[in-house]
Amino acid sequence: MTSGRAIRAETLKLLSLPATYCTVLGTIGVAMVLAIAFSRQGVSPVGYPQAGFIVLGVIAATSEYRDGQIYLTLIAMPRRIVQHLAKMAALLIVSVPAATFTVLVGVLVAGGPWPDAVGASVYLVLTSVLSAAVATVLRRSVPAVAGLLGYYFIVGPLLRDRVTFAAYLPDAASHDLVVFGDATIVLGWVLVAVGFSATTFHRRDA
Amino acid sequence: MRAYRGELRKLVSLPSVWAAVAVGVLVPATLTFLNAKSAVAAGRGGNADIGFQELAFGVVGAVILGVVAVSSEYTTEGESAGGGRQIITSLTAVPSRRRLLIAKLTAVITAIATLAAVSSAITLMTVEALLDEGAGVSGLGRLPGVVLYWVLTALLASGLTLLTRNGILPLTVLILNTSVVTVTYLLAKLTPLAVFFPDLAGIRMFVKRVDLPVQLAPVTGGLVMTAWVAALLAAGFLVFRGRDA
Amino acid sequence: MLKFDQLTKRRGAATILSDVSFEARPGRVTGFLGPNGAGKSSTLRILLGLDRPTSGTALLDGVPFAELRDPLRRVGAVLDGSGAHRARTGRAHLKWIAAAGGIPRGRVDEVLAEVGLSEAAGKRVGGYSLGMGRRLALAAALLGDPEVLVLDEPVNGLDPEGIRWIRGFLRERAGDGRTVLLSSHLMGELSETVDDVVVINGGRIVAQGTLAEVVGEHRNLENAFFALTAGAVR
Repeated sequence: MTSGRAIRAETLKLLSLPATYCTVLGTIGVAMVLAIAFSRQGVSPVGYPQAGFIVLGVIAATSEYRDGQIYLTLIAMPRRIVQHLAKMAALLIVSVPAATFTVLVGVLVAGGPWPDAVGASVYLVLTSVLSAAVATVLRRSVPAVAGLLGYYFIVGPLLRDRVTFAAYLPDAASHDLVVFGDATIVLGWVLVAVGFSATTFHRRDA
Repeated sequence: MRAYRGELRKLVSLPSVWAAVAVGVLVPATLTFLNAKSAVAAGRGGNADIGFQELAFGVVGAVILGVVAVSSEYTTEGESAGGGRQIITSLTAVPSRRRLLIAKLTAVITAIATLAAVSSAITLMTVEALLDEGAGVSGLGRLPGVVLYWVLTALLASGLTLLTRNGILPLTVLILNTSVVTVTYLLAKLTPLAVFFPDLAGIRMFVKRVDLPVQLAPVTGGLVMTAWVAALLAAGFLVFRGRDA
Repeated sequence: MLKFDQLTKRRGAATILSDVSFEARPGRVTGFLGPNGAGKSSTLRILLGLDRPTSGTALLDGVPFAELRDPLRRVGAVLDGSGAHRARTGRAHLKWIAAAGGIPRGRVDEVLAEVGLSEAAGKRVGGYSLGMGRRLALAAALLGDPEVLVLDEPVNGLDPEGIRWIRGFLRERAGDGRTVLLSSHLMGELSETVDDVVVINGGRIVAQGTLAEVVGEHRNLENAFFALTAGAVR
């Protein structure tokens, strides 16, 4: 079982799920509408669309656990860490173009700051990977979505106003277009999260 | 009556429901604690809405509970394909879809009303404890508004989930709209008509100062929100009744 | 050849499997028999690397499943349901499995034809009947043309024609020298199909041997089964 085969299989899986397309297209659409309607109010192109990337990551991870599919995945790809990383790679393959489009749409319509567009895309991609890691540990989509969205949209922003260490939390970048420094913080969180999810996945019963 | 008790038992035995309860209690209480402390530290008194603004955020617990009450019927995570979703068992136990839905929604109302009352009590007691000038007696008068807002929001969540059968979309839409800057609030900047959205209208039931172009009276706000919820539940009921399980 | 050696699994305070040891030999159909909750599925899941044992080993030709280089070409498994996500089409499901196993794409249409799902392959799995789902699971197991087949209650959900088809199919594969291990609790059906029998109850093996040996003095397999598992603690 080579990693090349695993990545191909995981990409085929992700791309054969209707939910993947709905989420990506929906997010780009929403980004467009929000940009047209609200860019004058200073709403960033990253703020709301990051929800779409959170959902994408959760879907990529939890689709294994619907309908008992996990057993087939583990039989076809028994080396779990390779399979887990291959799944993340497949997620990257989908989310990088999606993030690029989402940010492009937002920045084009707003005529906004270009240099930060790369950082914003990176942030969105990393957020989807982080969400997939969390969802792998939880194994259920509703708690994962509720918890992640609740953090990114309610707890996180409220903490940011009040607590100084909030600058080091994974959603540090969400309301302003990202400077590369913030993306590094998110990357750190992603590495920790994926390390944890890979270890958990490797050791527990299916 | 038995159907209602069955639905209540279902709710009580769902771990997600208890998580929602924890969120509904902890979020407003913690926020109020932090806000009140910083107000005291800054030497300011509380404003008229202290405690109540925070209870508006706590409604996310009601959203989660409302969604989960319906989505748990349709989830297939952890089962094999064609393995029964819970809805099949539920409809076998209570064949009348109307009765099942009424029982379920009544159970949700009971749970949320209790949760809202408990959370409000804790939050307002925190206010009293930290600030000398709490909301006082006038605060108590606004409590029914809080409870009603939470109940209606949960029903809104359930109604949406009846239409989608999957919890992800309702959760996304509603949590995004409970965030610090809600979508409807942004819309209100574009058009004053946005104040008639259910959350902006409903919040007038207990929050005195809102940064909106049109200020609805509390009763009007309540009626508008109720109308939205009734329409959504009617749609949800028709869909639920009409399609295959 | 499948070899289970003193397999033990505890989960919390419960002992699910206790010193399970037996073999499934090539060229023979081995029936794994036991009441619900006896540990059949747990044993198979450990063999396939899905769960971890507390102690003991389950090996395929001397190697644990996770160390197999091409698992899909060595083992085909049919477990619960169809194993397919309900939103995918049957064909898309088989395609990703083939990709994971490095199996040429032509095999997808071949196995679909073999189990009789060629027409339904373009439809969503969510719309399949129970029998179709089981056939899809079998198709997935056959993709790599494996020498070992492991099936957990394969007859579940099949109609009489399907049952007869599977019986013939499994016997044919054993005749080719392959190893077939199937678990079931339908005695009558099993006794038409198997060569060797392993009986498990309450997490322990209570009998193993050829069909004739296990049936022994009893009139048929069913009587033997109830005699062997009488009075045991569930």
